[in-house]
Amino acid sequence: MSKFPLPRLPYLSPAVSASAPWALWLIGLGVMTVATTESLFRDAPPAVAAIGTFATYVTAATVALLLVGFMFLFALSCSVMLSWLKESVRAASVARAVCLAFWAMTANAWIGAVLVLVDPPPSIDIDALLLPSSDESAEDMLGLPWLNELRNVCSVIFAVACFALLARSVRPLHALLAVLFASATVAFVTTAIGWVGDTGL
Amino acid sequence: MDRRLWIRNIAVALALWVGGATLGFGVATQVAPKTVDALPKAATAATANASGPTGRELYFGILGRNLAVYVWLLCGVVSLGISTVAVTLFNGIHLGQTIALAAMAGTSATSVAWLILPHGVLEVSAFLVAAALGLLGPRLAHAWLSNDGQLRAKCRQLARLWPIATLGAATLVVAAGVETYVTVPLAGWLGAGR
Repeated sequence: MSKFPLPRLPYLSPAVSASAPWALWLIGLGVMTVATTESLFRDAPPAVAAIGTFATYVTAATVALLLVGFMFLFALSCSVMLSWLKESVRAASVARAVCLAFWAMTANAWIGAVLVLVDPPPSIDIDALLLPSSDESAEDMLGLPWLNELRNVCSVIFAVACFALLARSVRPLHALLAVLFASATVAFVTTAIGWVGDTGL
Repeated sequence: MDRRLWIRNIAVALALWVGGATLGFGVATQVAPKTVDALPKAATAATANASGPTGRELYFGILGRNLAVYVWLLCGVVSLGISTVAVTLFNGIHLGQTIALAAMAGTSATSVAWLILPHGVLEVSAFLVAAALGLLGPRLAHAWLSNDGQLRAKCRQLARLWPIATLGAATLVVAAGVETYVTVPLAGWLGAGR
């Protein structure tokens, strides 16, 4: 058992307090996706809007699933590093710390949803969608210029929160090394796959 | 990995892929006839006139894209199998949509089969093997979270599967060659013959 138990929401069991941010994140992401899609395809012909909406939902669901997968990889990497540093922390404690730090990504989804609802993106030009120019990023195409900045800020908050929560159970330096190692692992995997797959086809 | 586990994982991967393809096909056939008419003429013309990459450039382009998918599938080992499930479903939906749109554009079933099967057999086999490996993720996750001391043994068992993973990647190298030098000329020939 850890010396300092991880914080949890009052009146909720550890399992519920660990899963609450995931459920709220999913709802926030759903709101953000629906609002963005409705706004993007509001001027498109109904048939194009239908297939565009379907494609956007599929992409959003895939990205969401991959984020969950990478959160697991993050927790696993933290645990591996802590084991290597001879810390006797339980895997479940690491997993719970990551789950609680995930509130940062929940905030990301809900801030994004609010921003989209307050200032909806302009309707997408279907020609631009079919023939995107190579120098146009996804956030430019979607008309959400704050998307990457918001994600980066929330990712940093997530890593800091993870460190703070892990530092309650293990030595702070070890917690820092574990979070840095996990961040580097996730960044390496995503960058490497992106680099291999970015063939310009 | 014992044979029953292989069969089970490949069956799960195949079910996900076929399920995704059915979903993609179903949705596309519901809206495709209207969509083809609704596409802006400028975009359609620009797409038709665009000269794509050929030869070596195309080969490495296809290979890189397929290897990225392959790695995403293998990443299921360290991501609770989630990346495997997501990418398998996504690929299935994409394939279903492509087939439906080709059918709606008047391409015959035989032509579609000629365009998919030569490289598809190799490509899909490699992807299914990678997906079967990726679907070992939940077992590893269970061993990690339950702290029963089996994680090391399971990691060693998994590491012994590297020849199969390498064989899958090698299959993709061949499949990219078939796609570039057989499927693409075949597509041009079938297009000219129509």
